[in-house]
Amino acid sequence: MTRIAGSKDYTDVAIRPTIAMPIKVVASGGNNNQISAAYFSNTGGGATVASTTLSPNTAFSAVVNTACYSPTADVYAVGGEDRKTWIIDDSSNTQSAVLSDGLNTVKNCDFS
Amino acid sequence: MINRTYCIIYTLTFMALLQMCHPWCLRTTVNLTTSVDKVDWAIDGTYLAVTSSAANTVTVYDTINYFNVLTYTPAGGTARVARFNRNSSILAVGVSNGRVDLLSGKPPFSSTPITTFSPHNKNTVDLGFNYADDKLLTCYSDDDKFKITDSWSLASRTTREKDIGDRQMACKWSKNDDVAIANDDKKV
Repeated sequence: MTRIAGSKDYTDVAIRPTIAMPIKVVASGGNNNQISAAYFSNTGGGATVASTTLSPNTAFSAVVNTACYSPTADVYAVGGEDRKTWIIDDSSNTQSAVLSDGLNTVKNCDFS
Repeated sequence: MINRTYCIIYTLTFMALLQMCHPWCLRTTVNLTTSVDKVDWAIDGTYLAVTSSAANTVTVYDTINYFNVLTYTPAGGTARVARFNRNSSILAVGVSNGRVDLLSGKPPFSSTPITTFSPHNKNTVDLGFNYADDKLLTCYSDDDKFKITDSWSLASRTTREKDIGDRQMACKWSKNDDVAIANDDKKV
């Protein structure tokens, strides 16, 4: 079992919908104003494998509540207490668009 | 008539250009009176399921016109999460008492479940179907075990469990049948 560790409880996870390794997991809520992206090159069988965490975007101004992957795996989205949904490019982990609700916290997301 | 045709063409062209320049900028808002906990698209994009635990409802919207086609309140518990299966024929509702209610994911929608079963008797926090659509993952905010129900659509379904030593916040399938679990010990 492999683990990503944060400073608080993660509230949502998204897994890149690809079969090819590495498996990429994006987790939200585990750190203030950050998300974690980890790459797993091996899973299962009780093996412990290394993961790499990173902060794809330092522009979050509040806790990120949710993360979701597009079915095409080219982008993922995260959203949270800053009332914004961030669309992030999968390959570069950089922001490609921001949707601002303005009034309400983003609690959950999903791609069609 | 000609002016009207030109107007429609210009409008469509403008919309197409807008979409190319700002592909995320077209938005439809559906207003609810309580906060939303989970959203889930049907795989073909035709329906959207919205779960509100505060209202104890799962609301399904037709994404052509965003009309409400179903409002479901589970009996004997609180709706925590609803997700479509991989071919969108079924909408699974996870309930706070551990029960999973299977509803039709396509018309005719009905608030009478097709069937119900309980992988566990704990507070469901998330659920999901694997990509092969033959396994159902359920995880719980008040227990250390997550459950996998094999052959979930059949009466002969069986349930396995894994104890991860911590309560759960969210859970997802990978495309090659691994699972990721967010727990209440600051880890995934």
